[in-house]
Amino acid sequence: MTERTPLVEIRNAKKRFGAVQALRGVDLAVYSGEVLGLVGDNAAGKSTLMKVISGAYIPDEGEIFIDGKRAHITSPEDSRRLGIEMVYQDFALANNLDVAANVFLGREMVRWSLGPLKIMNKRAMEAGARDLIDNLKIDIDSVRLKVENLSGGQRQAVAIGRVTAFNAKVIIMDEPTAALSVAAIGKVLDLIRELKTQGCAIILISHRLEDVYEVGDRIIVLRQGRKVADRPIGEDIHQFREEIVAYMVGAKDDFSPEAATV
Amino acid sequence: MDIQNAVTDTSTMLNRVRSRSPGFLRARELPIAIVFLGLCLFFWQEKPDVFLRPANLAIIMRFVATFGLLAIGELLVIITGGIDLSVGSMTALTGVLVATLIMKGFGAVPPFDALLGDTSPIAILPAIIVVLFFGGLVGLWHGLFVTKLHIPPFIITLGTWLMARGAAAYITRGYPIVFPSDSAFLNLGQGKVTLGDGANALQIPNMFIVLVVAAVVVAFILNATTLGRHIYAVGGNTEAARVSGINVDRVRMFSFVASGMMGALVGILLASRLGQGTPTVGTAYELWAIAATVIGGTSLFGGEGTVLGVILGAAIMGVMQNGMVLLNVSSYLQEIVLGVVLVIAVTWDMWRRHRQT
Ligand SMILES: Nc1ncnc2c1ncn2[C@@H]1O[C@H](COP(=O)(O)OP(=O)(O)OP(=O)(O)O)[C@@H](O)[C@H]1O
Ligand SMILES: [Mg+2]
Repeated sequence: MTERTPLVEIRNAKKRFGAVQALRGVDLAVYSGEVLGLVGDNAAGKSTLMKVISGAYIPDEGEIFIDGKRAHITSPEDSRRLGIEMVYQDFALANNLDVAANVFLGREMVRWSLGPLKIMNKRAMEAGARDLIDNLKIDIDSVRLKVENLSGGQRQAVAIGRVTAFNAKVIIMDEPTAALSVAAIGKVLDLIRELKTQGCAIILISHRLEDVYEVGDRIIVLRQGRKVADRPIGEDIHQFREEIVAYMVGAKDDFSPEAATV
Repeated sequence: MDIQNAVTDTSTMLNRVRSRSPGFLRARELPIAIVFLGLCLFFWQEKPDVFLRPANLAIIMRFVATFGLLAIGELLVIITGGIDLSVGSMTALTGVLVATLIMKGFGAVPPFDALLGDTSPIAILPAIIVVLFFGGLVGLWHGLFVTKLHIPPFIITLGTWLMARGAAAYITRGYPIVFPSDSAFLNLGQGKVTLGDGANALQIPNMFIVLVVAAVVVAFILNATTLGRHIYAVGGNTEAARVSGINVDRVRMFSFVASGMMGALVGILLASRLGQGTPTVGTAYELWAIAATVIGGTSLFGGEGTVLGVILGAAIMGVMQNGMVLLNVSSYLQEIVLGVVLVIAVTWDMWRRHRQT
């Protein structure tokens, strides 16, 4: 076990939606240069936990630490400022805008301001988006293409690319490989490896255990809003799959309910 | 097989050309502009002696100005995924207000009458500013209900649709407030700029100049500023906009305020044009404005639409309406024809969208 300070840590996260207790006190830490797989059955609370870290949801309880310091995240802007970026599962891009506009959405380059009106520097944004697309070897003809005209793989690449453009320390990806072709999945995994070598910490949510196995260093399993496993990935794939599935369906549990803070 | 390849090749090629060419060449408005020009040619050829006469062009321009201005405000709301049904009634209320303020002062406007008693009239410019501000406030009211209380835009603006019409009648007790024929206020809506001389000099109504200025300003905001980009983003994918750090509520609030002010602006212009503030003016204008935005290629689902498009939409309606009058088409038939045009525009837009995805 290392004694390093985690890049991001969340302790005892709880979140309730009406009658649904989505998170029942979850601890999670991720270190720099690490790919952390986060898995669990549908409705286990994976997206909710990540949205708490990204500021999209405010938890009922729980504390977030960035580089060991307590952080107060109440909006997506807060978390972005702290170097946390998220690729959302369900609403990544504005399909009616072009690639460049999506890459810079919410942080447009401004040429000059006219009172409250900020005049955009479109050319610089297009050049920036072009560089980004080229650096990540994403295959897109023009950054002026509307996202609705892109393929699923291209869209996902843009969604991932846009969060890498701003020196993120932690990148959270919620199901980045769902609904992609095998070739497109390979590209996304390559992208994750590339980001890892750049020193990012990556949290990868996926239902595809082979993807987590391939690029992940460690894996956390959630079940019904609780963490049931937190272990390195090492053994061979068949054993890995069997074990993780056992955690997911509740046959194994490293953090028994009595021990967990409920 | 070959044909199919050829078709896909050309369409990808076209897409590439479009995606690389400057904005005006990509123009989705091109087919709309072609329809507009076709209509102009048709009516000109049918009525060569009347259609292009300066006086007739001025009539068309006033029509286009009225509905174009309302449609620009409506456009801003519709792009963000909303709708503003209040603007027709608001033209009546704001027209009545500006007339009352200029003729009688605040003391004639409830509830100020109880507080102030008789007051003296207000100068024209301050009255106009107060009424524009009032339009903005009504827009803010809509925006607050939509963003903070999650009331559907359709409902909250429908409420104003009733209230504004009722308030206009209440203030005037149903009678129009008539300006003296020498009032300087009347220049605004009745005045014009003449270009050239002789019988064929082009007469551009002041109202049309107001439209051009408003169009340039709003087009600039939509295309060049972060606010404009955020307006499209909110309409395209509200949640993506929110998690990208865009203040979605403020963007939607802005669109309603802008639409409210456009309603007030048109109310003022119509009061000046008619020489009176009357509570019956602008009936169903909100629907005409929405029709103009839709004919101009705006998607009622939000996220799409341009200023040039909606002005072309208003222009198509204006030319058709005018042309049919010139051809002595019965007014009932005119409405049927405009309705058909609206249906064709929406259907064509849907078809285009389906083919694309
Ligand atoms: N905004 C919300 N409002 C109400 N309930 C919610 C909301 N978000 C999540 N939930 C509920 O919280 C629980 C956990 O959902 P969450 O989306 O975190 O699951 P998940 O692990 O990401 O599942 P999946 O694999 O299907 O994406 C579910 O029961 C879900 O219905
Ligand atoms: Mg999820």
